[in-house]
Amino acid sequence: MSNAMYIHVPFCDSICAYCDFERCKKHPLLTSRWLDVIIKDIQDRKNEPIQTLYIGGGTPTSLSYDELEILLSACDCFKPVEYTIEANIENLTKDKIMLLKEHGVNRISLGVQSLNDHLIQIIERHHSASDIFSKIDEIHACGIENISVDMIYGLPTQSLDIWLADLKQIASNKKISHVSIYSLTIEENSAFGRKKIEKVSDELDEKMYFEGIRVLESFGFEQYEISNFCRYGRYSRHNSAYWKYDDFIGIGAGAYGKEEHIYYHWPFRLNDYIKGTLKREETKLTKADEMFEMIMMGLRMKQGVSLERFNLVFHEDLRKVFHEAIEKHVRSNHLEIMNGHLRCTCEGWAILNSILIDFME
Amino acid sequence: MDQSKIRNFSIIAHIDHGKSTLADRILEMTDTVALREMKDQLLDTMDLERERGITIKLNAVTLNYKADDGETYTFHLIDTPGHVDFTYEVSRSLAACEGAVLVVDAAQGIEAQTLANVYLALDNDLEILPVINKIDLASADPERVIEEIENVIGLDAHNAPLISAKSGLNVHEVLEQIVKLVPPPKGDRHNRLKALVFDSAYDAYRGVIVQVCIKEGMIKVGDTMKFMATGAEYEVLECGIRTPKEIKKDCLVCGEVGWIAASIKNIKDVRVGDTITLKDASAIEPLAGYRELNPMVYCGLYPVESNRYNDLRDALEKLQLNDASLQFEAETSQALGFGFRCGFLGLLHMDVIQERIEREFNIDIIATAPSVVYHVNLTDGTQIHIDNPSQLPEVQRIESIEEPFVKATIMCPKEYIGAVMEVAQNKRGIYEDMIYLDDSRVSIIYQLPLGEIVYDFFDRLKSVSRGYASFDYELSGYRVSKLAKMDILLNGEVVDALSSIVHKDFAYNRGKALCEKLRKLIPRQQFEIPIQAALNGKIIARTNISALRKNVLAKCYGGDITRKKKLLEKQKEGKKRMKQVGSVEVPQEAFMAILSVDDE
Repeated sequence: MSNAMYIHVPFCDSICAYCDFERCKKHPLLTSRWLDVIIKDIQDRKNEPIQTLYIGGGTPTSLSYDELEILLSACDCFKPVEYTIEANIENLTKDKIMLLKEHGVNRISLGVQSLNDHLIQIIERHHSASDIFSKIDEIHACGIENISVDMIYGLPTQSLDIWLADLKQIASNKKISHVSIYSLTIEENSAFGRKKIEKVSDELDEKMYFEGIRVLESFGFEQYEISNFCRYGRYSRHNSAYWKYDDFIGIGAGAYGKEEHIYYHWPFRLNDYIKGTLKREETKLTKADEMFEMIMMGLRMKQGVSLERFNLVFHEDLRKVFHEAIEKHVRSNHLEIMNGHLRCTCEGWAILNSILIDFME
Repeated sequence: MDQSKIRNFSIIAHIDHGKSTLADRILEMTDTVALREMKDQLLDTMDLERERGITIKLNAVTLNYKADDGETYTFHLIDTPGHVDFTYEVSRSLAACEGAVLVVDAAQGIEAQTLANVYLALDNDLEILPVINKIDLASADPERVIEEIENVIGLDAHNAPLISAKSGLNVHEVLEQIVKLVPPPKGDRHNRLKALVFDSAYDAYRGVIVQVCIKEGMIKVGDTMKFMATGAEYEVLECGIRTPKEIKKDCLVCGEVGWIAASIKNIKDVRVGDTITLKDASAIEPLAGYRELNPMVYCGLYPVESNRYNDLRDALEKLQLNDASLQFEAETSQALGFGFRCGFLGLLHMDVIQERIEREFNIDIIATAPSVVYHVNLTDGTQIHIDNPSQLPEVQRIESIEEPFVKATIMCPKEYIGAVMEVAQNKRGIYEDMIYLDDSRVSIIYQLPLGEIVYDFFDRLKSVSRGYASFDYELSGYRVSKLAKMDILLNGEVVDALSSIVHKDFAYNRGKALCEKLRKLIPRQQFEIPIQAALNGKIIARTNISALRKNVLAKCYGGDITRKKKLLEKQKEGKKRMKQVGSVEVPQEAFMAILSVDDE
């Protein structure tokens, strides 16, 4: 039994320049057949005690009103505490917002990325800063008050000033209760990768990250995860399930899931998916895999990994299993054991990769 | 066997001018190899040779050719390595021949290396048969090339067959010329045995297999043979020829080229150029031309993982079984731990050995920058030889330092004269001469310090001439130079493996460039790392690697745990290939950084 479910909507109206996710341009014939299959997949799991439901993509709101209604209706069987959908302001019309509200969606994650007209053009998005804020007002007015915004730093030509100015504008909007900041990665299979676009220097990337944290904190945001900030206590419960290494159900071509010591991926092959012949790729997780992965994910959270939970799941003492790595990094002041949790110090958090390498076999 | 029906010959050519292709055609046309057994370029057997299109190890094959005169001739085709590092080996295999087929590309003309090998052939009194290859290319200009051969080498090339080794066109004519123009081997089978050793290979079951050309007398299974230079004695257990399959025979007689197995365990007993005679009926004089080989270039080889030190020693020992010119001895570096100081005939030789260790023995190694042998005159009047910059005594004890110089011949189209001369000048070259080969091409002669050639000289030459310049060198002696040791300090500590010997006038620029290069190569770490260059203890350049403050996955991979883990595994893999030097993790490339500092 899983408490978290992720549903993958792989369609977009247009593809952003940095994106290499499992997505494709939307086509009405394709979506209607895709809907038939995914609805069946959702219904198959209707008895799961879902606490958090997350519809991501792609761009779920690229579905038409009618298509969206079919998808949401299929999810009516769940009564999640947190119900999130990812959206782009270009296709999140007022009637779609009302529809979402009707079906119990209580959290919207908006892919904003940048407020700067020049950068918006570079990443091949089609909105303006004022569109964004009026859309946020609209969402809020419709009664969905948990609004999260994704922002990207390290974009080509982006300066520290532009980045911080964008963040300030976002953070000063009281209707936004959650911000995720992501460092641009140039992926081979993205427009940026194909054009051999260069990212900003490592030094600037670092500055953008650390100064960005400072700005968000000055507006009352709490950094509860490496890339995630919230206020009014509105952390992402669904993403926290990943970080706490709980099981989660993944539905739809392109989705990932983890259930009963099996980590799986539904390959992004829409044709097979529509025909009903898609097989999921499975990785059987060993105890060693799981112990490492719980730490890999858990140390991303400010609170860290609970020693008690580790013991409950694995019947082992975390401090003994990773004795050497922990001792090394406690000594260099990168890790600490506090309130029954193993967690990163401020310095350690930002260099988590370097720490995790010592936890690997 | 009728000695007058034997023809021993080599093929001389510049890389890519078609030597191996011609050899393949000849093997085919003499029915030596069934077509289906043919792999491209049969004589080059090592993978590396195939990949690089060059021949490193020698091979000799025996072929039967039915000539137009109705007689059947025995050809011994002796392959030669085509690279400057192996000049001595080339000269010894040429000494086994009476003739050489000189293959020249109909579009490219003569190159520096070809010329060097032609001179070696002339030194050995060989009959040279020029052949113009790639005649079917659109850019072929045989008239110009024939003229060039006459101008540059002074050979009459008007009867040179115009061939395409690729299609086989006119290759028959080459075979007929070999019959008519190459003299049969001299020597008398009734004289006392003199067999020229021109190569050897190690066989795990039969010991060292010696490749020989019988110059006088004969040798048979059961004889006790004696190596005249080393004095080693062995009983002949097997002998024979190659077609290229190994074929056993009872004896090898005057004029024949073949192999001898005698359960020889020590490669050092078998030296290229040595003469084999019989213990009980020794020749009085050995064959001329034997020389002991000394390495020209040294470098340190260290296992990336220190627990593979013994594996590395095993690998070097195994390689040495086939390659007596490879030398090594154990050395210790403060920075790199336990490893070996290795001596090579030249840069290609060094590259090939390094690559074989990584590829065939699967050992990750760190190679330090190559060094030449310096003669250091001390204030007490004595002279020491050092092949490792870190062995240089303190400045107060040094009177002067001598370094090896080479006479370098560079051939290029005349439009690149300026660029080529600039490269030579930047490498402290001393101009000697320039000769016009024809209207469009020149040969430029420079005296150059060998120590500068080991630093990317060849690559630079190729890049400024768009690949048109060719280059060859021979050692011309030692000269006193204004040299000093340059140390590199990482985080305040001298890293011995990064020390180099530089000319004082070039030290400042090189130090600056090297620091800059290291800054780019060494990944940022969790603390700031100063990099400094010091000449005789005085800091001449410095820079900093700023501290790494952020190393974290900050992308929204959501539930994609595998991707997160894969990125970490990649980082861990990268870390494994680093060497911990004091508190700093240094990647392998950093130890070779000095080789390319002159680029910037």
